[in-house]
Amino acid sequence: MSQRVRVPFGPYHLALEEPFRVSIEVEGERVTAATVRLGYAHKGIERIMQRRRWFECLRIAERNCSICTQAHSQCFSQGVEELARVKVPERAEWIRTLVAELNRIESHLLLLGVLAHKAGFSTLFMYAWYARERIMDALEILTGNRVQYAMNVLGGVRRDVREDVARAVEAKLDEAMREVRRYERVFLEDSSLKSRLKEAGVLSKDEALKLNVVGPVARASGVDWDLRRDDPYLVYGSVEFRVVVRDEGDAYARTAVRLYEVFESERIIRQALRNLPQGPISTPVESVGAGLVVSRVEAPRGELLYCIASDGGLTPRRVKIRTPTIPNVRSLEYILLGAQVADVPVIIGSLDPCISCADR
Amino acid sequence: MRSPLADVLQELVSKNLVQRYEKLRERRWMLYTEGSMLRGLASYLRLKGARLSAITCEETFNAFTLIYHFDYGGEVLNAVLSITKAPGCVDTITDIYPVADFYEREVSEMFGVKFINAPRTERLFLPDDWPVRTASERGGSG
Repeated sequence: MSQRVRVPFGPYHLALEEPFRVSIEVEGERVTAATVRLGYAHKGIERIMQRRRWFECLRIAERNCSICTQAHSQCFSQGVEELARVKVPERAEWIRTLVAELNRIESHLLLLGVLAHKAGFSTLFMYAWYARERIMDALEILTGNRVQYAMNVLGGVRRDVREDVARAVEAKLDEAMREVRRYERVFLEDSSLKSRLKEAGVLSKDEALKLNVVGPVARASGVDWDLRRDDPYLVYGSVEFRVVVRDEGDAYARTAVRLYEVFESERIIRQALRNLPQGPISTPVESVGAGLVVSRVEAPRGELLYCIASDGGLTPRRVKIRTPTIPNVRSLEYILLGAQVADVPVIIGSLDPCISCADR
Repeated sequence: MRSPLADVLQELVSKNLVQRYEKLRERRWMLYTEGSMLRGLASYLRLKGARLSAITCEETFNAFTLIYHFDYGGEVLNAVLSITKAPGCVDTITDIYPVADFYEREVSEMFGVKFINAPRTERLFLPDDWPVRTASERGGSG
């Protein structure tokens, strides 16, 4: 009978991009137990926000994370705008959608590259990040920043999108998507990559529903749920896109969902660039009223929720942030059971955990 | 097939799992409940296919307000309950919603709320030696 050995994965480990710990117990090459520990990047952001003014909180919110920065910015600003009873101009909503979808592509390409790297396919990692670089160029043209875009202001957006800017963004998008289409088949059909991802970290639909996982992780397990369609915000109710769902529930399906979501985001961006209405880009927010709002957006990793309570003063009374990574990493304690030790990095990577977000 | 939300809300009131409910806006609801009703409410919503999105805790002078955010087909049901700081306890719902484990442990660490029968109490976010004040140490006469 083989002996049970406890193997610490993290908080600092070659297979992890950010610090968190997965303690696994192995018997031979099989994982028999796993526990997750977070908090190594805890910043106390919720508490900090209670002592900052509303407009300052927006800048703090988007610094929860550099990869899903626009999702945090959008989730917080739409919550505050609801409290302030301010209607964001239509043009600003389209611009916010444009930035959000570019951000989603950037985030998904980052993960696809990282996953290829973890599966031992470094060339594909470089290709994916080459395309991502073009998207970051587009974001820089659009917002002036490559990472923390700071595009949203309470009541609208900070910069308008001139015609020449829209064309430059479209050119960068064309360039990036040309690259993505070139290696689409490699991601989905390369036999060595497929052998690493297929049947690794399987999460059935029943388990996904029971564990309340969100975003591409849930959709790869057959859960047809996307807040852009099911609790629409911004202009998602008036653009055409498809919610990508697969049934296999393994790392391969999670990769495929993200890859196809890149194409859906591209569709939304092209519609936004084509249909950008004329008009103002912001409405002044004079004061924020008292009340409680629950704001949700579909971040690149799934449902992001902000619960914001206000007394009608200059600062929030309470801001609660629930990021998509929290339920998703919780599921690791189930997904890893029975997995091969060598597959653990790939399985963790396929969940796309964003620890900076989760720790707040 | 999901039951219509109106039926679910009516049934929650008739089963005495919610005292009353109100609509905040499109797809946002407040359900007012109590600690003693929480497990029944969670079991009922789980059976109906609702997801648990988050648990928010807010501290007031001598009580904690807990908000359980459920998603029911795109509708957000915010179940609100208040517990006094002494003793500052509420039943766990981790056996009903496994994901609640992380949410409850976070609330427990940050606010000192105790979740009765919670299967795991080890630290999730804060360092193991971080001095977390218990609910009663946070003041308030209860």
